[in-house]
Amino acid sequence: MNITPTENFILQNVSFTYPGQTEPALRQIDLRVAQGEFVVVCGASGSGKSTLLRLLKPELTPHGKTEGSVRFFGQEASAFSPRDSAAMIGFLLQDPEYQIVTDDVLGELAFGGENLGLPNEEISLRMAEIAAYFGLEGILERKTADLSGGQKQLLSLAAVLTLQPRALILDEPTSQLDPTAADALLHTLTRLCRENGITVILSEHRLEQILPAATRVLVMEKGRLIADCPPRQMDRALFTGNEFVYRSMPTPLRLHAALGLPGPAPLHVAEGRQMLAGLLEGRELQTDLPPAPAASDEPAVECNNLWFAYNASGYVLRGLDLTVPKGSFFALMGANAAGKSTALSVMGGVLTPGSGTVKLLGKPLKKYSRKELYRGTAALLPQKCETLFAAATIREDLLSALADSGLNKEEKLQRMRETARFLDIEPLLERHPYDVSGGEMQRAALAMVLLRDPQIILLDEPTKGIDNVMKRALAQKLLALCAEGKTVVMVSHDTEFAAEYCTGCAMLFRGRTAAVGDKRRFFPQHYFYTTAAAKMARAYFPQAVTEEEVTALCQKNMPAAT
Amino acid sequence: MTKNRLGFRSAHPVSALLFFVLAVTASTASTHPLTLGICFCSAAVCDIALQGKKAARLLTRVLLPMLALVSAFNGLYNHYGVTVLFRMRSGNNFTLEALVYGLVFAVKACSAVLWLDLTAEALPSDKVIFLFGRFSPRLALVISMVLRFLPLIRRQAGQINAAQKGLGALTDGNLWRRLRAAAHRLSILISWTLERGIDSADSMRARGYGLKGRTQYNRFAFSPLDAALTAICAAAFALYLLSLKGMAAVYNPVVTVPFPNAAGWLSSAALAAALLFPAISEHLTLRRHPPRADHTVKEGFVDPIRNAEFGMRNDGEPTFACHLKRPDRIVSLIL
Repeated sequence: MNITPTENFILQNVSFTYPGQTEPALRQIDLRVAQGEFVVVCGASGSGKSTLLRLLKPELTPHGKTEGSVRFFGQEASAFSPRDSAAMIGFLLQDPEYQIVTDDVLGELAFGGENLGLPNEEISLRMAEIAAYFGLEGILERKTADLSGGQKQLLSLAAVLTLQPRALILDEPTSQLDPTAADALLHTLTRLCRENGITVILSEHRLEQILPAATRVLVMEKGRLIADCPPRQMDRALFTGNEFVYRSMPTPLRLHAALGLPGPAPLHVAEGRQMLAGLLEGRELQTDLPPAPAASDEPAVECNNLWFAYNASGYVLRGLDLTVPKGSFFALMGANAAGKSTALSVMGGVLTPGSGTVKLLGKPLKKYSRKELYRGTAALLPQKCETLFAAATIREDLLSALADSGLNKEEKLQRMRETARFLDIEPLLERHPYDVSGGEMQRAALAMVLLRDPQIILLDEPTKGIDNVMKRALAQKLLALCAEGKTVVMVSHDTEFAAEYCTGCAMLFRGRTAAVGDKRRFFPQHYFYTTAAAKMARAYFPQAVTEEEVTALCQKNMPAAT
Repeated sequence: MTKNRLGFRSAHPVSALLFFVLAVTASTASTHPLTLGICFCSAAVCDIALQGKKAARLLTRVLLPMLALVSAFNGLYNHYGVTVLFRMRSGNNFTLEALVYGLVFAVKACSAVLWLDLTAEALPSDKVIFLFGRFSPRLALVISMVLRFLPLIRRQAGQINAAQKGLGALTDGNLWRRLRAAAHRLSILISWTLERGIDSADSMRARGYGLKGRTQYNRFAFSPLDAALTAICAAAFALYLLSLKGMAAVYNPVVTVPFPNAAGWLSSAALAAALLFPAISEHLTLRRHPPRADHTVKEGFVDPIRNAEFGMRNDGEPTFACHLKRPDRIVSLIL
C-alpha cells in the first residue's frame, strides 16, 4: 500500500440520486478534505448531510446513482479495497445503543481487530492503547448493557479507533446524548484531531462547543454545498439570507451578525464578552427589560413531598415539592439522575410514588380513574418516540390514539386532520413512521399526545436531536397550546431552549427542587447552568438571558451613529 | 459480601470445560454407588462452596425431595427384580431392585443438575463464547450478539410499556382487549428492533465485518492453577475410564455391586480430588483473601417511614441501629 494521503477525500462534481427518486439528494458537490482537518457539516434535516457523509464510507454508501468522481486516499472508488476502507475510515452513527454488537466491553473493543484478522498480540496492544487513552479501565470488565449512554458512545468511538483509522466520520454523534456526555465526546474528537492528526468530519446541531475547534464549516441546503470556509470567515450574507444557518450558529456569532459589527466574528463566550466590553465599557447603561409575564395563581400540577425509588439502590426522588402554574410552559432541568424524568413519570401517573401526593388541576392523582386521567387530563410524550409507532403509516398510528375517544369515524378523521395540520405533518400522513426524519417523527408522536386532548402535556426531552429551526417551530406550537390554557411540563437539558421560550423553570438536584422561578429570576442567578448570552452579558445586562434580549439592549445603548 | 473472583471462577475456559465434561460424564455414566456417591457429594459441596445459600436451597428444597419422589415412583411403576418387599393393592410387586435403581437414577439426575448450576457460575458467557469460537468464530459472535440484544429488547419493552401507559393506552378490560393491547406493543417492539437492527448491521460493516480471515481475540491467560486443574482432571479421567469395567454395578434382576479393586480405589480417590477442586480452591483463596463485609442493604425498603423502622437512612444507607436489629449483620460487621 503506497499511498501518500495528504488528501483523504476528493469529490468532484458528485451528484447522488436515491432509487425511485427524480430529485437528486446531492447536487454537484465539490469537496476536498486533507489529512488532519476538522470539518463540521451543518444543514437542515433533509439537506443531504447524512447522504454526503455516507458517500465518504464505501461500505455504507446507500443504493442509488452516483455521478461524478469520488477518490479515497488518492485512489479511485473502484480501486479502494474493502480492507483499506475498514481500516482507514472510521464511521460513528447517531444512536450508541445500536452500534454496540457484543455483550461485553472487551468483545466490542476486539471486534474491529478480529475482523481485520489481526493476531492476538496486535489486538491486545491496540486495546491497551485505546483503554489508556479513553480511560476505559473501569468499564473493561462490564457488560455493554450496563453502561450509560455517554459511556456507550465513547465505547463505540474507542471500538472504531482500534482499527486505527486515518479519518473519522460521525453522523450527528451527540444527538442522543445529554450535554455533559456530548461535551466529553466532542472534546475527545478535538483531541484526536489535534494530537493524533486524525481527520474528523462530523454533522452536528450543537455548534456552540464544536465550532471553535473546527477548521472548516460546510453548509448544505437542498443537496447543495452552499458554503465551505473556516468558521470565522463565514459570509454575512449567508446569515441574513438563511434562517437555518443563522439559528444554528453559536450565540456570540449571532450577536455579532445581529449588531452588524465589522471584523472577525467571536466564536466562544470569552471572545463574545470582549466584544461586548469593547462596545459597552464605560457607558451609562439602560438595562431594563420587560418583566416576565405573570404566572397564573391557579396550579395545574402540585407535587408534595414525593419520594420514589426504582429499586433498593437508592431514592431517585427525595421529598420533591413543585408547583406548576396553569397555562405555563414549564421546564424541569438538572444533571443526569437528578430525577427529572422520574418526576415527570410520576406526574403522568406512569410511576406511583412511594409516598407523597400529586395533584393535577386541584384533584389528587389517586382519585382519578384511568379513563378520566388519560382522556382529557394528562398525557406524556416519552423520550424515545419509537415506543409509540406500530402501524404502516403515520395516519393509522394517529387514528389508533383516538381508538377509545368515543367519536365516530368522521369525527376521528376530522380531529386527526386538524391536529396534523396544527403540527405541520399533514404531508407525512401516508408515510411510514420510520421513513421520516427524527424531528418529524417527534412531531408525529406529539400529535398522538395531543389527540388525547390533555390539559397537562408532559414532554420528556422534546428537543433532543432536533435543530434550532425545528425547535423554534416546536416552541411556537407549544406556546400556542399554553395560550389556550393548557399546561406544558418539559424535561430538558437544553438551557438555551428553556431560556428562550419557557415561562417557568425548575432545577432538580438529587431528587429535590434546588431552584425555581421564571426565566428572569431563574437563569441570571446561575453561574454555569445558564445561557451563553447570560454568560457574555452578565456584567452589563444582569437580566438578559437570550441573544435577542442582549441585541435589543445593545442597540438601545449604542450611539445611533453606528 | 463481594464475590470471590479468584479460584475456580477464574479458571481458563478449556480447563473449566474439561472439568465439567469429567464431572458430568462421571456423574451420569457411572453405575457404581461409590463413584455416584463421590460425584453427588462433591457436586453438592462445590455448589454450596461457590454459591452458598442459593445452592443449599436448591439442594434441600428441590433436589432432595425429588430424589425421594423419583425413587419411590420408580418402585411404584416398575416391577422388575427378584426381591419383593411387599405386594401392592394393584397386585404388582414393589421390589428392592426397582427402588434402588430409582434412587441411583435420581442421584445421577441430581448430580447433573448441581453441576449445571455450577456451570452457570463458573462458565459465564464470555468463556462459553471463547469455547465456541474455537470451532466456529461466527457462531461465537452470534451468541455474543444475542446476549447483547436480549437485555436491550427487555429494556425497549419496558420503555414501550411505560410510554403506552403514559398515553393511557388500554391495558385492562377483558381478555380480548388485553390481547389486542399486547399485540400492539409487540408490533411496536418488532418495528423498532428491526429498524435499529439496520444501524447495528451498518456499524458491523463499517468496522470491516465480512472481510476474509477473521480471527478471534483470546482474552484468557493460562495460570498455574489452570495447569493443575487440567492435569488432575486428565489423570482422573484416564483412571476413571480404565476402572470402568471393574466398577460396573448391575441392578436387574438382582443388585450386584462389585467390591472395588486397587484400580477402583485409586480412580475413586483421583475423581474425588478432581471434583472437589472448585471447593478446595474456593476455600484456599478465601483464606488467603478474606472477604470484606459489604454494608449496603440489598433488600426490603419501600418508603421512608418503613425505612426509619428498619433503621435505614433515607438515602438507602443503613444506620448502625439497622445492624443491631439484624444479628446476622453484626456477625458480618465483625468479620
